[in-house]
Amino acid sequence: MAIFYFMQTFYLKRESVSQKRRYLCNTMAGLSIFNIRGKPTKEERFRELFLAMHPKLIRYATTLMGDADEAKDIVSEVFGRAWEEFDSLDEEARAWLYTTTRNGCLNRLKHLKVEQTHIEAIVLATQADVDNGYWEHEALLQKAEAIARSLPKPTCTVLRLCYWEKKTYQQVAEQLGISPDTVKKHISKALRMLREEMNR
Amino acid sequence: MKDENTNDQRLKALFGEALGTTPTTEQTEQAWQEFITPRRASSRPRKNLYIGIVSAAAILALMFVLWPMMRNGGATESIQVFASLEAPKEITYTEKATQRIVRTPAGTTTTITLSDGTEVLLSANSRLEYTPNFNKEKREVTLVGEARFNVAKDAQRPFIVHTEQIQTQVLGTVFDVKAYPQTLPDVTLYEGRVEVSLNGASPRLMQPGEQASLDKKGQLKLDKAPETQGVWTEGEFAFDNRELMAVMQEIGSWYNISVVFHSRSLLEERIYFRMKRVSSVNEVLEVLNDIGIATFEWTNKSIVVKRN
Repeated sequence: MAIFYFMQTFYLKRESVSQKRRYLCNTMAGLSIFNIRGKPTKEERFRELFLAMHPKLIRYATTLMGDADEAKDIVSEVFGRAWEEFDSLDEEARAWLYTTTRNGCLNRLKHLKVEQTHIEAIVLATQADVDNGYWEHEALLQKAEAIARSLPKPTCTVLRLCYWEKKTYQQVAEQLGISPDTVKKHISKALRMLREEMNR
Repeated sequence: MKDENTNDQRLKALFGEALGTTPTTEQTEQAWQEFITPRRASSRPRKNLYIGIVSAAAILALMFVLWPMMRNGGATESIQVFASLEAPKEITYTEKATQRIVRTPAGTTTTITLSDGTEVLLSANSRLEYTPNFNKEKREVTLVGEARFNVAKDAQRPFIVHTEQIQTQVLGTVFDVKAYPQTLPDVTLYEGRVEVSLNGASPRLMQPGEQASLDKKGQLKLDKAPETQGVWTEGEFAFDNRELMAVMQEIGSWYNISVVFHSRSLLEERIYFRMKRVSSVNEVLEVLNDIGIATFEWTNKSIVVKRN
């Protein structure tokens, strides 16, 4: 409960800072028209990477943090670093972005004094991805998306409420007017399907 | 045992991510602008405020002189406002378990009468999923794309339209739902009352003539609907003083062709435009070109919009 309160107040502070930043950005926008034609500039190459990866990383960081505003700040810092180190990234860029985002999230969670067991669970759950350079991550994600499409709507709703919105089984059961056992049944069915798909 | 637990944690996180909300193209574009703008600015020397002001004034003066040249010769931006989707060649009806799925190709609409008497006019390039026999408590359908719903009254069983982000719940009424992937969705109410919500949270009651949409921060907002909103059901494109971005999204989604802008400022240009939807893409682009505010070209599988 105390942690929750702490996080809440923290978000409020950060929000006002990022609003100021946004305002500054807007006022500067009119000045940015100089660019030389020819082979793609750093900005053009970086833009391509940014547009492809930013939405994915936001979604990824949101699942780890359970909070979209935190995710935005972390991903924005990650891209800031990527911009500085862009020349040395090359083909590794995607894996680097995922790994750096993951580490950024873990650092942030530590800073927010989230329970250590929760952080350790995230470390373990993401370890396999880090080890294989997040190559498997997007493939698995596609499988999970395909399974989600084939699942009945109620199961999808349960999964989303539990693992995207991070509600407890009890909260989800109350919101949907079903029993906690039914919630668990929906989940174990989906997990079974994904496990089978992974072992294939 | 511990391994198994960890693996489950990973799978659960994967589902969370797979079912999570991905930022739209517009939101990503905005994030890019916020990201790049200060970085462009900071690469310029900035010794003190005075020099800053003088050079800013000089740049402004230079811009004023060079602007007409730079509009054509400067670096090209690419802002995609609509990405073409996978669509069938003709209207398809498929059954999956108890669900029935209707999909429309580009340039074609179809009317579906549901078991409760509700009529759905499904727009082009769209997909409606429903159970042929609704259950006793709810009538639920899932939409990707755009549709007009004329819902049969049934006070006992609310009718719910699910889309990726917005849910609309009604008892009996007429309304449009538009939710193409990666573009901002909206709901327009013509008659009766509906409740809209973002993924089920904090529903808001709409009045006839209102349109619910998402703002740039992803929050639900209610505004007066554009007068020409409902005209699509009569087979027309009709826009009165609408932003070019909205116009081109609608044209892109009807013909299922990606649309890319090469100039940011064009997104907010407003135009008046009317045309039959049975027209070919080239005919539409010809009329748009005649307006004279921009060049519209259909090349390389996308419509490109740029300054003249």
